[in-house]
Amino acid sequence: MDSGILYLLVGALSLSASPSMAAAPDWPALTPGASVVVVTSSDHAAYKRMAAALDKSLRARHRGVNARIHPASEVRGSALAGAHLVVALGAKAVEAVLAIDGDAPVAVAFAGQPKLDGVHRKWRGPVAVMSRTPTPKEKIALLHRIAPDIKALGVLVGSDVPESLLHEYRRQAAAAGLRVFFARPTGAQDVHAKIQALLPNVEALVAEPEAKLWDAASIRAVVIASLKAKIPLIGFSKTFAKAGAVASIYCDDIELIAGDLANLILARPKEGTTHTPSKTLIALNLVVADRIGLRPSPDFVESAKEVFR
Amino acid sequence: MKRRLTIRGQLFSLVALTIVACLLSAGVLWFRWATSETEEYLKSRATVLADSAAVSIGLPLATGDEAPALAFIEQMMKQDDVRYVVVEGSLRAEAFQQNRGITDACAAGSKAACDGRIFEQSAPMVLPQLGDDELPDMEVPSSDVGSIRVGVSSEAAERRMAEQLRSGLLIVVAVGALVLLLTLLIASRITGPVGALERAADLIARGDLDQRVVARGGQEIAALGHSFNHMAAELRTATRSLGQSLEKMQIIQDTLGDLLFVVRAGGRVVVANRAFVQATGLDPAGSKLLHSVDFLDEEFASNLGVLAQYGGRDVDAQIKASDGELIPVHMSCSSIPDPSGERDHILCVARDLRALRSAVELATTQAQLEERERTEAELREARNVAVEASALKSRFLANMSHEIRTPMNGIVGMTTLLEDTRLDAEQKDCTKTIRYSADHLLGVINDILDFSKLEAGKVDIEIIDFSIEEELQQVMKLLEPRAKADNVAVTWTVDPSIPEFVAGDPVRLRQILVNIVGNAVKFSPRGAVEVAVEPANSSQGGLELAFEVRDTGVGIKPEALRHLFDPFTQADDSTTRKFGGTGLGLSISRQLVELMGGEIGAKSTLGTGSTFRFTVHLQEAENQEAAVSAEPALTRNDPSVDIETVKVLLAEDNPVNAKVALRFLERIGVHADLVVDGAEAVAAHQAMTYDIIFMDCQMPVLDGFDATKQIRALPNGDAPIIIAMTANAMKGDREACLAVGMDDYVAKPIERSILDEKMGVWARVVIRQRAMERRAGAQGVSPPSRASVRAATPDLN
Repeated sequence: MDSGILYLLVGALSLSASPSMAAAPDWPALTPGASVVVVTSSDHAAYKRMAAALDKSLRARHRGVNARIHPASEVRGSALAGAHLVVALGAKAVEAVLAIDGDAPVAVAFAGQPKLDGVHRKWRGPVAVMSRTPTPKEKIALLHRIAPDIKALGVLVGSDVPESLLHEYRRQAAAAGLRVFFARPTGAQDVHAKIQALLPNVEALVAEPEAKLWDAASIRAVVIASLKAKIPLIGFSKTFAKAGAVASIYCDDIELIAGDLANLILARPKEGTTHTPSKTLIALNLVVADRIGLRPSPDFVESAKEVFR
Repeated sequence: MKRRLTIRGQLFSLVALTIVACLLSAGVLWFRWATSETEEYLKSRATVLADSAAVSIGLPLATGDEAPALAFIEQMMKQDDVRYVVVEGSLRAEAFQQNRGITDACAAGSKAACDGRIFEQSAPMVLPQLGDDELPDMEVPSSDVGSIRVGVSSEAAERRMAEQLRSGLLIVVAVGALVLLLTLLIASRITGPVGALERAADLIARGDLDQRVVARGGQEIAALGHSFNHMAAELRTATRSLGQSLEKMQIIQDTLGDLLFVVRAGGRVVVANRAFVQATGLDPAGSKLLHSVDFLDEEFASNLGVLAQYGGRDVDAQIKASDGELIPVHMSCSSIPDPSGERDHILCVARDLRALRSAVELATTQAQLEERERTEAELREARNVAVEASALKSRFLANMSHEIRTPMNGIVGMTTLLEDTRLDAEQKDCTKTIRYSADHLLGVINDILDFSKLEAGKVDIEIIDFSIEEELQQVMKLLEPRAKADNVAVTWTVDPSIPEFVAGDPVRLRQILVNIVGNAVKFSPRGAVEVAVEPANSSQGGLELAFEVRDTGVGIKPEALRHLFDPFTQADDSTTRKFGGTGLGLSISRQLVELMGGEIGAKSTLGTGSTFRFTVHLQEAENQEAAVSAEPALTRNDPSVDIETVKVLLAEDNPVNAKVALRFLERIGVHADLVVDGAEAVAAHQAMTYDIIFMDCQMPVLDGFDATKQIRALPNGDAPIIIAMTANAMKGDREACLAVGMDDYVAKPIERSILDEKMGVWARVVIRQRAMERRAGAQGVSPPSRASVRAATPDLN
């Protein structure tokens, strides 16, 4: 079975099982002629495909509704005025939408966990959020499966992430008997220094997704630091694992079901809720594991979606 | 002297300095980078710890769960670099304050109290959001939670940086040493062939142009070696070519006749050719340096550069030789650019004008000689022309004389014969007039001929002995008829101191006297003429006589007196009409007087008379005895001569002349045979030996000269006495006749008296010869030749 469809089914069950799904008084019904604005983080082909799929799905379910698609760079001033529904695809799209003082219902898709809190707090209108990021609990669990003996964890997060994420890490780490330290680089160029400052206190690293932190240079810096210190690094994408993280946990194909996901949000809106993925994927880099002296169990390896040897 | 580094040294130094500079720069940059990185690290370190602590101990601190917070802080303090952790703004802040290795004051925030550098970072402690499962249901203002300060020492980081620096330095030193060693090796590999090139170049510079190098080493060095060898070969070729060129230049310089020298900008002479050295005695190759001021005027020498710059040509100058002689020259100078393009040499060529002047003088002399030769040639040509013209004139005069005398001979002869006939008074008067006219015409002709001869320089003065008195008598006798006719009394006196016989030209003297005395008689009708001869006062040696002719005639105007002796001049135009005359007489007399070394002049008073005076140079005759005429003139019926026995032949082509001559001879009893040309004369004498032959000179068929020669060539050729009878009365004609073997000469027109005289002389010679022949025959001896007899005959000429 295709993983996208599977994810869709899982998501649908998860949504339908949610006790708060029925209460959505503020969420508008999309009548014919309703204005729907889709904001994408960029005009990348992947986002265009997602927007097109969303538009197709909306028109299939709501007669007479067409979506206007704008990349985030074009969203200025009154771009969202009169919109009955705003859908933000990607972190930059969320930032662009939040930069506008509006009150239209907003459906946010693919934003990481830290962004969700911000959307809920800043936006005056109803918000429905779909996250693609696994939780700290899942990441610490993954770390324990790879390196069960570690006592201190270092987390690389953006400088403007909500404290709730940090506390979530603190709580899950405490639950796992770990001390957690946070490095919060202000940008990609600050990653290296912060890693170096973090290394004396930690035995493992977790990289949280943040658009402004990660580029090729900063990813190389954190990978090299983990290799030199011989400590495991948990990344957030298949590419990260391939680049040198010993393992990554991610929701890889969520964008393929973006239209269906949006319809789910609209069908059962609930303000302040965040729909998170119930199915995550794991990528393993056995070369790095070997370099830092780790021996993942064969079962674990077997369960990984991607294995780089 | 500053020693320059070798290429290897330079290369090594360059690399070493570069390495040191690079290392120093890298070290500085690295140090700055490391310092910055360390500070950044320490800041980040403090930040990470503060942020982490703020999250980890905020909730425990807020909830009173101190154990986890303390555990966290203690865990942090275990880190070497963490010096203190201070919680502030919390009710139990002091319980969480810990420090290590520092004073409390330092931990309290006093930087001055800290030992070493402390990097501090504080972070507000944060709590989970309300409603979180962990957070109790209580109100905790986040501002009351407080903050946490973490101090991190730089000691460890700086120690680590120092270790890195030491390691880096070691690496740098090692790398530097290795690089320098490699540099030395490479430099040696590079400079080795270069050194070989240098040595080879040095040998080439010393003249060994065959030096070559082995092209080894790197590609560039090998290429350099090949290029060097090629350059050396080219240099050898160029040097040989240059040497040949220099030899040619030297030959050209030394062959150049002009003075050549080359001067540097400073004035020093660096080159001079052989002509310069020889002319001046100065040699720039000598031991003493030669400067332009040594032989040129100082100002001129200082302006050589200007002269050369503006293309000085043929400037007059003087070069002072070593012996002080100033040589005049024409000098031309040019600048010689050196390879750098600057004009710092001056080439001067000076032409020695001495030789030129000598050449000019020589040429001038040559030209003068040529001019002189040309002039002489022209003069010769002119002279030849003149001579030819003179000869033509002489021939013309001779022809004129001959052609005039020939008919005059007929006129005079026939008149003479006519006078001997029986005539009445009127006829006698007519014959007398004819005779007078003929004589006058003959006189005119003689004057013209004489004048022409004098003008042509054809008159020579003879020196023969004669008597002055006798000549005067002859003149008086000649003029007597005219004097009687005009009733003029003519007297003459000769100074007794004058010798009786003198040597000179009596004919020309007589001609002068006849002219002057004749004029006096002519212009003094019924007057008196006195002729006086006396010695003249002369500074010259010899005998100078003065002849003075005084008359009581009409006199001469003073203005006419000045031109009296000019040709074709008479005292008055009316003179000619009244007295006749050609106007040539006095001019002829003056020229004859001058030929005889004298002078002539005249004084006159119009209406009273005139006095002519002339002097002549004569010599005293060696023989003062009277020259006696050998033979008297022959007359008819002369008993001393049996004239009829004398066989006479007349050779004459002109019938009139022949008639005259035959009649004259007949008058004295001589019957002559007549032939009309020379050939007949020869034949006649060949047929019958004649005693006397009168031979005309110009005859058809055979002229008198050739006829005489042929007659003399006959067996009886020496028998006849041949007398030229010719109208060729010019000077030289007589000599020409005698030269071909003739014995005597009679000029036409024939005077009967002269013919009679000649006949008298030669008839007696014939008779005497016959007598001698008879006596010799009687004695049985050979008679003397007629030629010897004629030679013994007194000079009749």
